[in-house]
Amino acid sequence: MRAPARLLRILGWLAMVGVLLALVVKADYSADMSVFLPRSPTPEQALLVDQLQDGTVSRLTLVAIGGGEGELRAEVSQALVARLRASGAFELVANGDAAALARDRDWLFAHRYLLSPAVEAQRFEVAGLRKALNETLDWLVSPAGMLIEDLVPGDPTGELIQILERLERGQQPRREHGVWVSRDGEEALLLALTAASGSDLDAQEAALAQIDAAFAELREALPGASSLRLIESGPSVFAVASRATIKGEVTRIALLATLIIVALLLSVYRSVPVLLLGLLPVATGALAGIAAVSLGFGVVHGLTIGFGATLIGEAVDYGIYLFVQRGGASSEAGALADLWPTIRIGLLTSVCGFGVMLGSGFPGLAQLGLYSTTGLIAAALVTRWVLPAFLPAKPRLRDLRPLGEMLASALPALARLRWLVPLLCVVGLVVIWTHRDGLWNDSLLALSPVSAQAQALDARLRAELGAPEASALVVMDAPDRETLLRQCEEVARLLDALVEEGAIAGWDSPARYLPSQATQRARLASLPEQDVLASRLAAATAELPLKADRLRPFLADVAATREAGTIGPESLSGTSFALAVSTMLTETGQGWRASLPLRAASDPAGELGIDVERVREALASVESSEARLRLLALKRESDALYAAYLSEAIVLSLIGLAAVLLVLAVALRSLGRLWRVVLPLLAAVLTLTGALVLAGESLILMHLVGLLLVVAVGSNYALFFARGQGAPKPRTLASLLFANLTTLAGFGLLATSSVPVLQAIGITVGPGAVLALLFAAMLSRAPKVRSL
Amino acid sequence: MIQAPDLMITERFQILAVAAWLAVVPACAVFAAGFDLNALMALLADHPQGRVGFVETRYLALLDRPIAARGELVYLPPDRLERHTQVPRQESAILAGDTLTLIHDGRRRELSLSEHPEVALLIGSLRAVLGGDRDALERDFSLNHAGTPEAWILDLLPRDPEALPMLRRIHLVGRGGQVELVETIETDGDRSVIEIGDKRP
Repeated sequence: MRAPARLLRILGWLAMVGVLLALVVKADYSADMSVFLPRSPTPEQALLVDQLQDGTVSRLTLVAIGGGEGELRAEVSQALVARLRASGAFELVANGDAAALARDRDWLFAHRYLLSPAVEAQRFEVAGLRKALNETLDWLVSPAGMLIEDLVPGDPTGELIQILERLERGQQPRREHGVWVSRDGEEALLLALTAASGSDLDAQEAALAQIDAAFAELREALPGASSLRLIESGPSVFAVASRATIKGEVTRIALLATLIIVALLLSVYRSVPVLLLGLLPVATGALAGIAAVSLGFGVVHGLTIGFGATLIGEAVDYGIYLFVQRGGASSEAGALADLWPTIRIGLLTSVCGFGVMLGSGFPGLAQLGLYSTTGLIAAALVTRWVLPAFLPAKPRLRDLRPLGEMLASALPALARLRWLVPLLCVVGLVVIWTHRDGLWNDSLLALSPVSAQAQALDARLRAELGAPEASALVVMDAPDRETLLRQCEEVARLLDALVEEGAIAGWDSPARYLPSQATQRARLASLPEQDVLASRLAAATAELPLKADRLRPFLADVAATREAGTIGPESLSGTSFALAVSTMLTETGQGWRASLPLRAASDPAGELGIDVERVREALASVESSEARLRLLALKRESDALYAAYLSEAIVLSLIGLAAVLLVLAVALRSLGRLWRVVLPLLAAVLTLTGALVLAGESLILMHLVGLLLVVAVGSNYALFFARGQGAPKPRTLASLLFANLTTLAGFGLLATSSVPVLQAIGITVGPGAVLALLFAAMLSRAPKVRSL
Repeated sequence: MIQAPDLMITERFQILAVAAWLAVVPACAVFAAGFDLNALMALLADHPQGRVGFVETRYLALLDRPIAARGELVYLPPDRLERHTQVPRQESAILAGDTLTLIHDGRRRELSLSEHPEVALLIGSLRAVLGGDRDALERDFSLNHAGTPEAWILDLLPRDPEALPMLRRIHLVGRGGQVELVETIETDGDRSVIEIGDKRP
C-alpha cells in the first residue's frame, strides 16, 4: 500500500470515529429495567405493563423488623413510622398502631351518612326507622352487643355496621404490642408508600436509603436494639436491587472478559501496539453500535453497552485471523485475500443471527440486535480496510505454526471419533423428546432478575400484611374523577351480583371510601330536617324498648351531616383508606383511571380461579359513553404475555436460522458443502440443549436466542473446515482455537451471572461455541496431515 | 357435632368417677383447707363437654326494658365454645382456638382473639372458666371465689382496666362443675345476665 493511500484510510477512519464519538457523547443513557418489558402488545398487556411500572403498587414497600423482643420491635416500629412520616419522602407509612385504627374508625363514624349504602329516604321514615332500630336491638343482644352499645345513641340505625359489613379489607395483619406483626409474632410489619413515581428509580433508591438510615439510627439509639434487623421487599426494592445487580455484574463480567481476552491476545501478539490494533475493530464497532442505538431508539440502555460488547467480541477474532495470517504470509496482499471470503460469510451469518433480535418486542433485545449488527459490520470494515493501513510491514507475532501443526496432527484422532457426532445428535433428540413437557419454563418470573428467594419473601410479607394479590382488575377510564366514581358505583351493583353468583369472591372500589358527589348529595337529600326526624323517631320508638330521649346525639349528628355537606378526597388524608383509594384511583395523562381488584373464590381444595368469561360478559352489559371499561385477568394476561414472548422468540429464531442457511447456501453453492457446515452446528445445538435439560435447567427464551447465536458464531468455524478440499492450514487452526477461546471467555463469564437473562445466554453460547468448533473439526474431510 | 348417646355415657361415667372420688377421700385436704381456687378449677375442668340452653338478658340504661336472646351453648373441651342464638335472630358465634367466627345472615366473619383483646376478655374468659383454665384467667383477671363445691360464686376483676374500659367485672354462679349464671357488669351500670339452663340432648 502506498503511503498516501494509507494516510487517506487512517484519516477517513479518524473522521468516522469523530462523528461516532460526538453521537455517543450526545446519547441519552438509561438503566431502567423496563426495556425488558415488551413494547406494547395487546391493549390488555399494555395495561398490565403500565400497572407493573407506574401503578401505586410499584411504590409500595413492605418492611419487616425481626430479631430481639416483641416489645422492642414494636417500639422501633413506632419510632420508625414517626421518622419516615416526618421525612416527607413517603405519602403514607402505616404499622397498624392503635391511633391509626382509631382514626379510621372515627372517620367512618363521622361520615357514616355519606358512606352507608343503606342511606335512602325510606330509611328515615317511621317504618324504615322502626325496622332499622329493631335490627340494632338484635345486634345489642348478639355476642357483639357490648362492643356496639356505646355507638347506639349516635347511630341507632346502625350505619357504621352497614359500612363495616361491606368493607373489603382482606385479612388484617395480626397485632401485638399495638403494631402489626407477622403471624408467628416474630417480626413487626410496616407499609410505606413512596411519594415519588415507581419508575423514578433514583427517588425510590433514595427513599429506601432513608428507611435504612432511620432504622440504623434507631438501632444505635435504643438500648438492646442492636439485635434487630430490617427486611424490605416490594417492587421498588426489586427494581433498585436489580439495577444494582445488573450494573455490578455487567461491570464485573466486562472487566474480567476484557482481562482474559487481552491476556490471550497478548500471548499471541507479543506486542502492546499490535494488541491495541487488534482491539481497534471492536472499539470502533462498539462506538458505531452505541451511535446506531442512540439514533434508532433515542435512548441507550446500560445493559446494551455491557452485554453488546460481549456479542461483538467476535470481532476480536477478525484481528486474530488477520494478524496470524499476516504473520505467515509473505506478502501483504496474501494476508487477507485468502481468508476474507470466509470471514465475510461468517460476518453475514452472524449479522443474520443477531439481526433477528431487531424484530423483538423487548426494546432491550431489539437494541442489542441493532448494536451488534452495526458493531460487527463496522468492526469487519475496519479490519478489512483500516487495520492493514496501521500494521507494520511484518509484525513480530508469536509463531503459531508449531501449535497449529500440533492441532493438525490431532485432527485425525478427532476425525476417528466422528461417529460420536450422530450419536450425540440422537441422544440429544431423545433427551429433548422425553423432557418435552417441562422443557420451557412457563413463568414470566423466570425472566425476572429477582431471585426466587426474594420472590418468596415478598409473597410471605404480602400475605402477612393481608394484601393478597388480586386475580383480576376491572380497569375503567373516564375524563374526570366524578364520572369515574359514578361508573364505579354502577359497576358495584353488577359485582355484587357476581359475588352472589359465586363468579368472584369479593371486590373493592374507591367509591366505597369516596362515593361520587352525586351519590353523596342523594344521601344528604334523604336525611330529614331535625324536627321532622325527631317526630318520626318518637313515633318509631313508641313501641320499642329504646328511649327516644337517649337518641338525641343521633338527631344532632344527622343535622351536622346535613350542614357539613359532601366530602372530597382530601377528607381521607391521615386514614388508611387514603392508601386504598390512591391504589385504585389514579390520574393518567388523559383523565382518571380506576382499577378495581377482584378476589377469586377459594375452597379448601385450593384457590379457584375467577370465571373470567362470566365477568367479562357481565361487564359488557354496562353501557357508558363517558367511561371505558376493561377486565384485566392478571394471571392470564401475564401468561399470554410470556407465551407471546416465547412464540416470538421461536419465530425469530426460525427466521434467523433460515437467513443463515440461505446465506450459506448462496455462498457455498453446493448442497454437500452446506451440509458439512450445518451438521456440526446442528449437532452442537442438539447436544447442548440435551445437556442443559439433563442438568435440570429449564429453558427460557434467552436460551433460544443463545442457540441462535451458537449457530451464527459456530458457522464461522464450520466454514473454515468446509472451505476447499481439506482441513484448514495449521496456522488457521491455531487462530480458530484462539478465536474460540475468546468467545468462551466472553460468554462463559456471562454464565456465572445471577441475572437469568444473562446467565441463559452465557451458558448456551460459551459451551455451544466450543462444541461447534469441536464437531466441525471431527467432521472435517481430510484425516491426513497435509504440509503447507 | 356431638353424638348425643356418647355424651350421655361419658357424662355418667365422669359423674360416677367424681362421686367415687368424693366418697373415697371425703376428709382429705380439699375440704380440710376449705374450698380453694384450685379445687374449683379442678371441678370446672372435669366438667364434660355438653350442649345446654341459655337465655341472655341485657339491662341497658338506653332501654326502657331489658331485651333477651335465647339459644344453645356448646362446649367442646379444651378450646371450642359455640353459641347458637335462635331468638331474636339466627346467629352463631364459634370460638375455636384463637379464632372467633361469627355467622349471621349467611355471612361469615372471622376475627382473631389476639387482634381483638376486648373480645378475648369477654368471650375467651367464659371459655377459660368452662375449661377450669386458672392460668388463662389469672392473666387477665384477679379471681375471687366463695362457697362450697355444691354452690359457689366466682368473681373476675380485670387486671388492666384500660383493656376494655367498659368492663367492671364478671360474676359467675355455679354448682359443681356446672356454671349456671354469668353476669357481666359494665362500668356505667349496664349489665348482661346469661342463665345457663338444662342439658339438651
